[in-house]
Amino acid sequence: MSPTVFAGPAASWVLAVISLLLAAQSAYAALLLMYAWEDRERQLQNRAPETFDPPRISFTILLPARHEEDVIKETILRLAGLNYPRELVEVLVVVESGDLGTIAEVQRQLADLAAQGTDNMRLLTFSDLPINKPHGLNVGLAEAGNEVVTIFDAEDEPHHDILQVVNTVMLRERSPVVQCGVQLMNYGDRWYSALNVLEYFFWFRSRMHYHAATNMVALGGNTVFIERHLLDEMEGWDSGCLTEDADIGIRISAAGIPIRVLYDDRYVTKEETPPSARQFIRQRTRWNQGFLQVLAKGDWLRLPSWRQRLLALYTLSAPLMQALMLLYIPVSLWMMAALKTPELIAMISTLPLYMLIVQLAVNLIGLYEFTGVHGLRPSPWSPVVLLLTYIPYQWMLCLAALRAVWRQLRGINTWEKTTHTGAHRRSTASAAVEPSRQEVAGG
Amino acid sequence: MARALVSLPSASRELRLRLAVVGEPALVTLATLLAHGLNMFQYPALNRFDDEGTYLSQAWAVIREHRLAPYAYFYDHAPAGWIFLAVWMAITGGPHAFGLAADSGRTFMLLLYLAMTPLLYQLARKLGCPSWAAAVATLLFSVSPLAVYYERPVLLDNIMIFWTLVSLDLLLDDWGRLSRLALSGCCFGLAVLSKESAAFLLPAMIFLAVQQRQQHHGRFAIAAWLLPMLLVVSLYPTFALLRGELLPAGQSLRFFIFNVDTGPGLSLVDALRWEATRGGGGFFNLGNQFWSLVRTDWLVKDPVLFGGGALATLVNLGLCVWPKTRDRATLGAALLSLLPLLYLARGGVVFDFYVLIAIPFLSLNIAKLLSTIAAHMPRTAGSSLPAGMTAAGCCLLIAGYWRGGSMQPLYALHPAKASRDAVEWIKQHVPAQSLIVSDSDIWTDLHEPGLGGPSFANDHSHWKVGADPAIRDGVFHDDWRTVDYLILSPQTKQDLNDAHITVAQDAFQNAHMVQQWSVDGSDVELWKVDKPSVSDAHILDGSAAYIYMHFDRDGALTTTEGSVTSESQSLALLRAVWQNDPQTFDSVWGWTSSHLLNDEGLLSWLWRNGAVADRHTASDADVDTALALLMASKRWNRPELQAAGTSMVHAIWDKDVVTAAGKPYISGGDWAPADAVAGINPSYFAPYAYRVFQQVDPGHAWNALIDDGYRLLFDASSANLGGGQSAGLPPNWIGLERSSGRLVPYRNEQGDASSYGYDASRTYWRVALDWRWSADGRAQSYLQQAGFLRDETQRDGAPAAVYTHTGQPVEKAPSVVGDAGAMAALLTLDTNLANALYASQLVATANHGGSTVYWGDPNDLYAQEWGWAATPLYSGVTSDQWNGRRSQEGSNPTNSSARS
Repeated sequence: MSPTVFAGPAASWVLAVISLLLAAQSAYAALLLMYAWEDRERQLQNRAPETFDPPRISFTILLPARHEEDVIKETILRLAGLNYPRELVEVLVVVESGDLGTIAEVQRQLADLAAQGTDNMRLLTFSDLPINKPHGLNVGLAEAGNEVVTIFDAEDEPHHDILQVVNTVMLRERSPVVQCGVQLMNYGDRWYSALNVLEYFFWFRSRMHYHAATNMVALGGNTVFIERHLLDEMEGWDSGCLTEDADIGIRISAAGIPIRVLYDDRYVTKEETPPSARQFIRQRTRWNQGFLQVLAKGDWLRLPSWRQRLLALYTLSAPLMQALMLLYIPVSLWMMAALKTPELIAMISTLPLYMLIVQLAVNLIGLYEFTGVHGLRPSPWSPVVLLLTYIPYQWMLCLAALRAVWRQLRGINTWEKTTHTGAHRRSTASAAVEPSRQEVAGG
Repeated sequence: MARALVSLPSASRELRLRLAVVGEPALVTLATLLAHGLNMFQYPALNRFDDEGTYLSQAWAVIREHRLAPYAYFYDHAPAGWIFLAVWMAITGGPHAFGLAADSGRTFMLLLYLAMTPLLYQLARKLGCPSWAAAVATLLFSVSPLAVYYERPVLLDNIMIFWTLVSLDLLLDDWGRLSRLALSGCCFGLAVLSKESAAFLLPAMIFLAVQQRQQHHGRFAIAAWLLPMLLVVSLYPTFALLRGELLPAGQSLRFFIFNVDTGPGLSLVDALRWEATRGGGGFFNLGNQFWSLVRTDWLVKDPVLFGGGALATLVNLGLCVWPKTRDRATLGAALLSLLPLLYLARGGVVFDFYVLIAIPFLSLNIAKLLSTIAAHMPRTAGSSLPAGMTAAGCCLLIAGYWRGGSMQPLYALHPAKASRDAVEWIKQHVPAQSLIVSDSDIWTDLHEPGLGGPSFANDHSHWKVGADPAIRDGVFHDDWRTVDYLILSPQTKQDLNDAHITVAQDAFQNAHMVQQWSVDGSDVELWKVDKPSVSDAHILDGSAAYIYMHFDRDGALTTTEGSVTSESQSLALLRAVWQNDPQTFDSVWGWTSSHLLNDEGLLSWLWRNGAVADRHTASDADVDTALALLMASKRWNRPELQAAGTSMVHAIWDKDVVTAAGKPYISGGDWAPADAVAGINPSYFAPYAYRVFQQVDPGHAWNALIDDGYRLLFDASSANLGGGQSAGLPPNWIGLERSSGRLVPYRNEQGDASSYGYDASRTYWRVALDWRWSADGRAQSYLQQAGFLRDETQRDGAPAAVYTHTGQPVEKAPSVVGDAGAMAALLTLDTNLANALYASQLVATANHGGSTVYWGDPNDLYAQEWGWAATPLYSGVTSDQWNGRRSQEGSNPTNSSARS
């Protein structure tokens, strides 16, 4: 194909406009990444209180689980060990009644604990459809007896002082909703782990604060603390939604209720990256599709200010933008090299590439920021791996985004569950079990 | 000041505080407005700094031509500076929004400095100066004669300083906001892209960035400044890469990867390498340009700012060596000033205005040192001492400047008026098409239409005439004769010699001064190059010499195929008469009379291979020969030639003239009158000759031949010859119905001969000659009908060689005879365009070999004949030798217009 075919001025201007839009979105994304590092005030927002107020708030911890025989016992044990008066804590493990393996593990663990005198934990089962997390949460919510409801996932490793932190913050700041940090830890496991870890790092540590400041927060799936009466007013979680967490966050925001975000490196809930690229893409597809669902539901349109609505739109449609950006970069490279575009337009078309460099640099520094605050020592090869995997990682995100759009358009609404192996709990994480395909019909 | 404020009565304290925050910067900004703004359009002179005009022209190119420079951009400087200037011009409505382009640029500089004044004040405060000291720093920066002198002109350094100060102000953000760090980095990147010398400040900037680390920055601290800075700076090499001009020619990345040949020449790496190796001089060589500028200019203009600032820098640096007085802010300030001084003192090429990079920081160091001293003074005189002392000190300083005499010229002199007046006069009096060599100071004003005149698109900077092959060879053909005007200052004249700009130098040697503007030591001169006397004669002689050398065989003008035509012989005879060359005349006439003169007394038109090939005549050759004989007889007093001429005149009437509907016309030749439709060649119509013939042959109605001939010419040109609407061009041939006198399209061996081409072009030449000799109004109005050729010439630079009668180009490339014809018409219709056409097509395309001149195909006799013929018409040599008159518009029209 002759390059001059596209060399018309119209093609050039289209190129320029797309480039400018992409560069602007990319610059905005970089601003969101860096938001928390802007000044001292924002830094302080991520600092948990150094002293704790006396425990006064009572918590109901929901622990939905499905096929989690491998990790559930340890999680229950950890929740039992939380540093908070037992009478103010209620733990509800919610399992679908057909998941006999998990039920057996849970019952055994609860019996052991009861024998040691821990009696604030219960197993709830349900047998009606759909079998998914929001349904489980709603089942738990119906039984919840305390003032504040919180969620942990079966593979979570919450900090033992987390309830003390939240109790203090909620009392001191009168916050009805608190989202604490969740952090993937096993950054060295797989080729994509470092970038996945950094996504969490920047999301919870920085970007969520921007959302909180704008009063438009797509909440995380766990370590989120919500006053019970609010959940009742919201009529619980949307059991038809793949990202029920983001959904309820937006509905709470739309109701004008402020959300406090707190990422203190010391108190983050530790999680793991998906064990394989395949699992990663499934998980990301689910999130992306969930975002698209939330977008389609239109609750975000009820947000009071246009700024909030714009941010919601931007956040929920991000998978689409990401797909575009990645498709565009090779095109722009080719055009720059082969087309006789006017110099100004050629310059403009390099801007997205510039922003890509910015993102790379931010991620690279972010890697050291992350390992620094968690007392880890990255290998000398880590930055090299990060640089080499950045583009493939973006392509993987792009693939997940395209997949989500495809599934959403086709009306496929199944929950592609992520397998948990407990990799973040081992000092040398290596033996990841190749998960079996676990899809459960929902909706 | 902070300490001073504490002791004030509390009621007025808040007011005083507000005054200190807003009042002092506002006051100093007002001082800037006055010190910088007053008389800034008039001083310094516009031709004082070459660069000022250059950057204005490059900004002009950005908004008007959408490229980085009006000439090839060769990475002399990164373009951000003049892009900002272009943006300013674009939003204010063009370069002439404030008067001259320089006025617009200088207004922009004023605005930049108005913004910089509070920035510098802030900077001083952030580096720990009390407000009175900050005021002193900004005042020095604003009113020092040294500063004002260099801050007024449009220089990249001024734009660079602006971005540097913005960057510093953002970098020293009180809250240490990360976004401000990043913006600061971007701004410093812009400073580097405005003028690369900002890079020498980089160590000081990085030092400050390191000082500005804060805990909340985490590991982003310095990177947040450095990365945006590098990215912005990298736009420049990226730009070069996109143009395939990053690496030296032959190593181009683009070439390797995409196999795109970028051609030889320009590259960013070459430019940087050249810059790096420019000149030596050595650091401690007291004779280098730096030290000589210190002695002769900088210290003289302001010993306080330059001398005091340098001293304060060293003292501040010294204080930082000593642990007890070590202070990061002081070290930062000292570095900011020390680095530019080291950069300037490194030797090599240093221009006087390079000092600009040091000025704000010299001021800053003085303020810093003063505040250190004040802090260690015993406070015996009370706490309000600094304020009073500041005011007194400032007054003293200004009085000192005044006494020193370096301040008065800034406000009293008007040297820029010289350029201003020159632009105004030139715009109104010089033909817009003129090829001009000028200084760059008024380049933009000449190129931009407005200011009472059109755009002078053919004005070129003398540097480009010297150094840019596209201009020197492409436009000026490395020949001074192409230059029409020179606009010179004493400095430009010096440049012409120093840089060996031979085209302009030689033109200057052959020019006379038309106007001179001299105001307060600034000189602008307009010189008109006197070309005809030398260059036209050179072309005439050279062309004639070439024709005889190349084609003459014992008096026969023989083509390479061995043919001789009566037309060539007749033109040779005319040339010989006009050039006063009886030898050639006799040789040519000798051969012609013995080989071509037939029994009718006329000339057979074609001779080939030793014999007459066609005994018929071509009437133009007969007429021109007769005229040449008559004029020769007068010129050289040879009665026998008059007899020969007169008898030929009789024969012409008898054989070449055709009568149609009772009226006489000159026909194509003796073969034509017998035909029912007589072949007429309008380009044979030679009224100037018939006027002479009437005198030697009163028995025939030669005057009627003129009258009817003109009428036929007008009719033939406007006739719709079977095609569409006529373009007003004469046809090569046209048929005349003898019975009715009606004009019809004429067909010859080549088919329809109605087009305008190698034959018909000569029509204008002959009519123009008649206009010169007789001032016949019909000649003038016929020439003025050549609007079609004017439009074509205006659009393409030259007419096509052949058009259909309706004006469709048939042969696009211009021909010499076509150019000669068009030029002959344009001399009456549009003299400027005629000059341009003559310069570009006849002077510029002439091939010079030794003492000879030829055009195009060296074997094309016809082209040489008409190339020659164009020149005497242009320069007025085609005089009427019979009546002994010079033609009535004898002089070159450019001469006459310049004298008006």
